[in-house]
Amino acid sequence: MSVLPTGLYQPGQSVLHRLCPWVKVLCLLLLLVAVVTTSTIWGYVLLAVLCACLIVLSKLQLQDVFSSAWRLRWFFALIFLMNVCFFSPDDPWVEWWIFTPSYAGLLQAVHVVLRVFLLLVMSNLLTATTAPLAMTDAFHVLLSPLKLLRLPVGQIAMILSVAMQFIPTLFEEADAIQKAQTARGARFDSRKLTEKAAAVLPLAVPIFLAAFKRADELSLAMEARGYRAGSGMGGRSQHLAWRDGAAFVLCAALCAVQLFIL
Amino acid sequence: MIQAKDLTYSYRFEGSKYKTLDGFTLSVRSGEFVVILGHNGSGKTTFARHCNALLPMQGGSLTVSGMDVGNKSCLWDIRRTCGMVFQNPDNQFVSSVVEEDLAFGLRNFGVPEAEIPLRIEKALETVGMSGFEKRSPHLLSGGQKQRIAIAGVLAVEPEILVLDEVTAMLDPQGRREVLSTVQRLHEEGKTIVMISHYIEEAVLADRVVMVHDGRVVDEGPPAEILTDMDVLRRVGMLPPVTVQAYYDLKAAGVKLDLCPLTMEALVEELCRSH
Ligand SMILES: Nc1ncnc2c1ncn2[C@@H]1O[C@H](COP(=O)(O)OP(=O)(O)OP(=O)(O)O)[C@@H](O)[C@H]1O
Ligand SMILES: [Mg+2]
Repeated sequence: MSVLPTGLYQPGQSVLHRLCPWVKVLCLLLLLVAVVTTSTIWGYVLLAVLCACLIVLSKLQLQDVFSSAWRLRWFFALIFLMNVCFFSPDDPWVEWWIFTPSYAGLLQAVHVVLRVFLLLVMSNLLTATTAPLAMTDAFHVLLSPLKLLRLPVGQIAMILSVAMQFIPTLFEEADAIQKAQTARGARFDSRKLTEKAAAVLPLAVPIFLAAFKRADELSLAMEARGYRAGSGMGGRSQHLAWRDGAAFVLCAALCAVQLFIL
Repeated sequence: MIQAKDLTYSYRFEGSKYKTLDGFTLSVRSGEFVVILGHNGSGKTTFARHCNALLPMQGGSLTVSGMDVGNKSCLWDIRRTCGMVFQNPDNQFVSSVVEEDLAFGLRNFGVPEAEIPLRIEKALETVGMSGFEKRSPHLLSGGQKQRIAIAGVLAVEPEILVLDEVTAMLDPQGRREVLSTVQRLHEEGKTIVMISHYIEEAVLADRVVMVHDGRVVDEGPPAEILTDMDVLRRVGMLPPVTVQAYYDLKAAGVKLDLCPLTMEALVEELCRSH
């Protein structure tokens, strides 16, 4: 289970857990806007403080919130270096081959890394405090305007949340298949790109087949348990409490502050 | 409870030559525990899927608790009456939280929201998994996963339970857990149809049904069917170890009074004959 893109749901009773799921998703969207539009020190400080408060409120373990960011540490290092080296071709410190590291690049790199990190922590907070089917309901509510376009919103919401849960299973499967093929002489560790590609391609076919088989069985199991695509479900009433309103107002205010003041 | 008469089914096309089910006739009484045995590809799963109206009817007739499976308007009542658990425990969960997964079926069938926690608690207690509400099914052992899957179906309170090789992917420990759960459900009066290809599992049944090439070859109480070498040979199954021992002993000149089905019975029989 170590490969979830974001945090696994951690059951709990905190304020964050009890917020209405769709309000939570909406708040996350507002905060994402705030993160993307921040450009001053105070903006980041404000968002960082907010994140810290949310983590405390959520009563989650730090490890649950930060583990996915830690797993992406090389990715962070990479985007940092790329930004430093390539962002601005004018006024570099040194010029060497295609690399033009510069002060502007460094600044940009810090911005980008901070933003991605904040985004990640915030989405982690959402997925760690929202149960998977509650997330389905949230998607359902938020996508419901699309019903006007005659899109099957209930089904799309279900697909999204089930797909998210099958990611770790598929990774495990890929791992098992890779081991099986290594045992039969495939060379995943080869340095040569051609050999590597030759080894990875046969991996793709069984993974796809396995995924389809899984999907087939799961859909049968869901049907047997009374799931009706296109009707029922999602009609679950979601009571809004004062805290939902408060959370929304807070996030909207923060977003406005970032956009118009800082 | 279940009345199948001359069921015929072919995956490829209606009327195609190769039939997965070919005149499958079976009736299951209320409260009965039936085990269906047969080798790979004999059509067991195909029959099970029919019980839940997961496949379109092609030929013959099938009623579940008096409802005609071919009748589209009964579809949801049939699925509510007849719960089904599948072979692979990993491909049945819709949520990574046990509690939510159990609620899935209940919500689908429109059980009032206020009643859901009670139902979940009761279902978990029945399968001996109380206290696992907040756990993630993916992180449980195979036997525990299957018991959660059974609880998910039980929560809906079906009259019939169809179990399709639920123990096939489990280790001996997990298999024991699941089997004792199934047996307890039977004692509580549920009608159970269990599909298996472990012949030892059939010992617990009220009735054993042997399936071969899409039809029922023989049926009867375990003591009769499982000791009949001719039937077993015909469907290509090996007899339980104890039955094999009985015949081997007989060939070696030791005649036991009774053909034993369990190890305990075998030991007892041996002690008695000395
Ligand atoms: N979805 C499908 N499409 C086409 N053919 C299928 C499909 N499912 C099963 N079959 C075929 O139908 C036959 C019977 O399959 P079925 O799954 O009913 O057997 P089974 O008795 O359950 O076997 P097992 O012990 O392996 O589970 C097999 O020959 C199989 O190839
Ligand atoms: Mg089968």
